[in-house]
Amino acid sequence: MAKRAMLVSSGWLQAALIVFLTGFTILGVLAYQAYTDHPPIPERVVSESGRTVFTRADILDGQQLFLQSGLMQYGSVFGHGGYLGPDYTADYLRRASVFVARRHGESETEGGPRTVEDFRTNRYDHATGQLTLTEAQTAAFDHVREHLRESFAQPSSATGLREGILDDPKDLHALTAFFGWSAWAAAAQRPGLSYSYTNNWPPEPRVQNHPTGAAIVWSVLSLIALLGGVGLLFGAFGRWRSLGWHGREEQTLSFRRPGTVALTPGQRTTAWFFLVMSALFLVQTLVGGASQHYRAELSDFFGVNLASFLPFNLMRTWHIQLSIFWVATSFLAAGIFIAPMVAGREPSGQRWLAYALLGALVVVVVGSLVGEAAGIHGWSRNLWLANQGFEYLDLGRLWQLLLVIGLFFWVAMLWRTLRPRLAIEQLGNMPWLFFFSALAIPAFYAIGLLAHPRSHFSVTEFWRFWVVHLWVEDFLELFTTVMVAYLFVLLGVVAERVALRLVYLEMILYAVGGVVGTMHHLYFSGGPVSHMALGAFFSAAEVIPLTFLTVEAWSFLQLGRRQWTATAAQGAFPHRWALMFLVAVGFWNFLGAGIFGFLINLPIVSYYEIGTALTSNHGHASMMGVYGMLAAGLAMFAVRYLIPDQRWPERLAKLSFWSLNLGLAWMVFATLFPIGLLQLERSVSIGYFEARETKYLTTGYLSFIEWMRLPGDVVFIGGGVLPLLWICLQGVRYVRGPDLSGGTDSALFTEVTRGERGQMSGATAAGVTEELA
Amino acid sequence: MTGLGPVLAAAAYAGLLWLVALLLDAIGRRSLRPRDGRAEGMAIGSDVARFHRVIGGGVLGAGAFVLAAHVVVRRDAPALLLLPLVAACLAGSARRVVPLWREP
Repeated sequence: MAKRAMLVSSGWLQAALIVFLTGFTILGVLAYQAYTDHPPIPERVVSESGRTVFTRADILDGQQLFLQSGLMQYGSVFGHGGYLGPDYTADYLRRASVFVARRHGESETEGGPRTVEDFRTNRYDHATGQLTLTEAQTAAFDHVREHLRESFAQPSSATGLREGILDDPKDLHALTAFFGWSAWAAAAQRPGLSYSYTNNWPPEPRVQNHPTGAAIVWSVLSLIALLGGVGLLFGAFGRWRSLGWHGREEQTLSFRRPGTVALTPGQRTTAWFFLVMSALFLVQTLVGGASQHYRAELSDFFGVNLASFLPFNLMRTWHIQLSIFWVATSFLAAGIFIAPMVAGREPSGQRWLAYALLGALVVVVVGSLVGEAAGIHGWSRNLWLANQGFEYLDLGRLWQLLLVIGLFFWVAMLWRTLRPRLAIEQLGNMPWLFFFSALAIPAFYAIGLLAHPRSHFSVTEFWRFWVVHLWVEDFLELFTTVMVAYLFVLLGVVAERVALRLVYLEMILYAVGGVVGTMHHLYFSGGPVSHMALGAFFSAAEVIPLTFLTVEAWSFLQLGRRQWTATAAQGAFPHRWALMFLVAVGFWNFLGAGIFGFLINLPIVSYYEIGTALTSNHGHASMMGVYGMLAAGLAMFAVRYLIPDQRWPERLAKLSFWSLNLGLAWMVFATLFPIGLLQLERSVSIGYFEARETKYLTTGYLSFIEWMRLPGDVVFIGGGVLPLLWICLQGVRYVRGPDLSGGTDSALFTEVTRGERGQMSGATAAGVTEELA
Repeated sequence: MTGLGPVLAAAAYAGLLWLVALLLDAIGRRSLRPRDGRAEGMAIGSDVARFHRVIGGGVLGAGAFVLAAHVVVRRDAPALLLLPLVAACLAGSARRVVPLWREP
């Protein structure tokens, strides 16, 4: 059979390939630099008198302890990690520099020439691998180790960590060595340069850590990149009117009632996926609420000493891991649900594969969460089964590997279903893009395996952000775009050609900024200045497609308008809430990812801000606002077909939608954004160390603001998550019977010719059936 | 910051939130306008308008709580100047969110 021709010019495919190849070539060079230009880990750190202070093994042991004890979900190193505890790099640098200044008889608030000399002079000998500390620095090491001993020995009620999390002197020595090494890299000048390995981060006047010229220059240039990019985009829109969302010309569609659309056995299994998804969502929000409570009331949880069994770092670990799990579950289910609609068929046995995938997913989720608890409670340090400890990649390596295998298994399932359709399609058409965007999900998640707790910390951060940024912000975004476009094609709202052009346009726009833009997370992680420069410049371009979204939102919304009116005669538009969730995705994408993301994107802002509530403000508004809302929207779309019409709980869907959005707006504007602003102001005017102090965050005004979040969280969980869980439960209870013919409905609508509008009689079968002809 | 400084900062934050809410109102109103001269299909337009208004209501509600926190924590005379702003934020929030229960 002849293949269907490319629906758009092949130039789109070529442009996309060029952009991706260019982006990944640059990223490849930056990866090489991550290995060659990172701060060295000395074989031996000695005092001027020749005493060994600590060794390379101590540093790596300390790093592993930091990760596997869950301390990265409590505090941070190089600004990356949790936000309740201190940034341990800044903390060490402050305590050590004050100690050294005092010893030298210099100002404890401003330092002095001898203090600066001690910290900024790079005494690392590349030939021997030996780093020499001054006697004052050596004494400071002992001083900080004693501080850490006291800090970790405190009862849990004072820190939010479990009691005695690290009380072995050997462990404390190793941990201090790791923090001490990171602080050395933060202040010692790179050979031949006037700034440190971390581009002078963190801000610390005592050792003359001030923003570098590059941080300011590249901040300005990134603003220019943004302005120029937006101008180019609008110019392109003016020149080529065909860009963007355009509805079917003058056609009105009559949607088939969901109850009349036949379901395949595989599609019916997705009811269980969505139930698991919503249950994970509920648990995620509950542990999120608990972790947030620590900031309002560190000492107890309404009279219960929560930290003794559910310490802050465990709650935050679960909160973040579950956010990935529940969103991924929805995406998996949506892929399984939509694939037969794309292909017009489902192979036999798909149902059993789907059940196997769901079972494996549950095993990975439960196994990894238990492993994380075991690691954080100190019951096991097994790297494969317990806590690996990287923020976002906390799960043990076995679970990580199984998840990758499971995701590839899902892609294989999609391949089975799509194969006949792919066989008759050109490589650049929608079904192939659907498949490739799905394939990118396991492929880029698998890269997280390159981050190992005993690798160089700067290198592990590099690979970790391939997952946190490239996987989430680029390839999930790509899958999202393809999925939304396909939903609209299936619903007949846009012609496939229009959707395809738009997918390419967004793919190119996201890739231009997003691939190299990965480096905007790594301004101060020990990479060379080129990481900061390219990261700042390219990531500014990431905001351009989000600006484009606001322009396109109008066309996008108009698409549904005519259809909405047409279907009013037959009853309510069946996908009202799915569509509203997509509207919410657009809104939060612009606000959460665009505005709140760009707010912290400039190197000069990030220099003072990294690790404050402005980061979690961006994280919540974009992760929940975009992927969370999309996951809920996909569930609404699919479950609407699974539940018989008469059982569809319209009011609960409405309650869930409004509560999730109101609750999210509340948590952002009542707590995260104002606290972030206050922290930023404190960081600039007083000091970064002061802005990150646990005591500052958990007492006084900030603690009160945290309490103000409670109503929003109650609305979010009680009004948003619970109804969604109930709706998904109805999907399992009342799932409609399968169509055992093996076929499925690819046409979810019929077109109504202009003269027949009033009669709403179906005239032409459309959708995939038409395209295959 | 001492004296009137924190109060002014809180008032400025409330001002920012009002700006956000009014901007969202304007965006919502725009979605109600017929396009291409056709007055058809207000259903989704009104849902989108409602979305922006309700989110604006949530923003103002959050603002009211933040300002109230400020008044309660400070408990000084300058902070009391924020009470009218708290009331205005609450009223603005209620106007935007409460109709949700009456509408389809």
